[in-house]
Amino acid sequence: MPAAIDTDNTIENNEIVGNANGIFVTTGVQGNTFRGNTIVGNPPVQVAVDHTANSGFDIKNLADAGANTFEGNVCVTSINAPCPSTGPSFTASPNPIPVTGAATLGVTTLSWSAPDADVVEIHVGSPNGPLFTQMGTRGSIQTGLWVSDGLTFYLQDVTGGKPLTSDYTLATLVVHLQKSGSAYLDFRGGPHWWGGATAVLFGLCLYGMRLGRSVPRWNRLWVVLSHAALFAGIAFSLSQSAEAQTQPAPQQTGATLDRMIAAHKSQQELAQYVFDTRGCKSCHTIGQDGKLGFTAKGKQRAQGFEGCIRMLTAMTVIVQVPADKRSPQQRQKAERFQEFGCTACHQLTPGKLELTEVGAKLAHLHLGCVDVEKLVANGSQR
Amino acid sequence: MAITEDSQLVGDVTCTVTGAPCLDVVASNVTLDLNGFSMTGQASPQTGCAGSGASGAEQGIRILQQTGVTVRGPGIVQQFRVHGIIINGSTGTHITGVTTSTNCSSGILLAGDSNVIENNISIANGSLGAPCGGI
Repeated sequence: MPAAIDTDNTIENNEIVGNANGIFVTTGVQGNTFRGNTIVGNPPVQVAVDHTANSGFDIKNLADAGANTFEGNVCVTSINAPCPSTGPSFTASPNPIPVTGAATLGVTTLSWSAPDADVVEIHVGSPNGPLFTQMGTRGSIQTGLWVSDGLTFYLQDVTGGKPLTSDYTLATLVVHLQKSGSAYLDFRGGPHWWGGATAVLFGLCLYGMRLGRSVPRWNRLWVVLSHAALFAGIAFSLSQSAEAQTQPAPQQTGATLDRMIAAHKSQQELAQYVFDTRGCKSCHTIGQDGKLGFTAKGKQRAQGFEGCIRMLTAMTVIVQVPADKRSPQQRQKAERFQEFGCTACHQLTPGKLELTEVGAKLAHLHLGCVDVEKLVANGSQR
Repeated sequence: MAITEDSQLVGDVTCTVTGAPCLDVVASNVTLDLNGFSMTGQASPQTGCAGSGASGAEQGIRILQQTGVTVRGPGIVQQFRVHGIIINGSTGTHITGVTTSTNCSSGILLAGDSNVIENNISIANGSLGAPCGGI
């Protein structure tokens, strides 16, 4: 990789043998991922013996240490990159799992490699605890929403019927939860809950001040102010909560679409339902000439937006990088992917980008974002 | 030869062009399927790359400043006097299942953003005069 601007590339699961160098990364390159490659015998033995000045390596990384991610590669010689042993590895991503509020459970993806075993199992809590999965010697799998703080996973070698004892535990893995924020009042409705919370607290504060006052002529004013702030806060919170709750669950969306199709509703009516219920209208207005307009919120969010196609293209690459290994730029793109509502139809599964149940149904109905835009915008002109 | 649309090899290819790519992908969102065949350049399998006098863009496959190009194996890109495959200034390229072998510089040279190089095999690429890499 020759230029400092080269970034976000993924070099994965390649076999690289007998070259002058295996992987050669030049100075200044950053933000790339080299994962799961087998890189041995670079340079070839004859070259290494006859031409000792030809400083070839399995991985020759001339970029700054840490500027690129090297993980799970098998190699023997390297500069500025790890060549780990071929022993077992067992990792979780994310770990710790970020959780918010009062959540005590999380989801993570377990990845393992056990080159010396033929069959492995992952057990929960102890070597012979509940079986989570039995798979090949290398892979990854996502848990459900049942991982608690401190839960230990056991990677067991069960080749040839080996017993589930600690003698055959290849690796253990402890997963933790990490509170990324907390709220004593559950104001739903996204990032604007604080507006309502602040107003309610302000109202309570005024109440407290009123109770502490002994000057009668202020009394009525404090009552008015505190009631006003309290009710404003509650109303604001409820309005935000209502906005959040107007978006139906994915299963509900699918069921409603099925009913509408059975009732022979038009494509335009289906599109309008999607537009109304999947968060589109918080950023878009129904425009003209087949295009949607923007609400004030939409205009703000659209600034610097790279476009849906570029975002999806980038995400197909980013999704292959474990969350805790992503570069700041990749993390920002992943956050924007969620912020822009893409996750209504696209889900990030380990290593790939797939359609959600709703996304698959809408794709089947030819109701992708562009279709919905055209149908809704054109429908408004009728 | 310029590739402007989805294409696949229908037989083994021997390239005799000098100073230019054998296959030059000049359009975005194109898939080139090697379809199990090989592409062979002019480096001598007997003498390797010694004294090959490789120059310019004598590569197997060039993807220059394109988006969303896929090169899919199985297939072999071998004995080119510069790189087997070069991705230069391109994004969203996907190279998979391709074997690059005995090319005089890199098997696959990557310069660009957000490209994926996976499940390929690189064997004996590079030379003393151009100690690049398999990738």
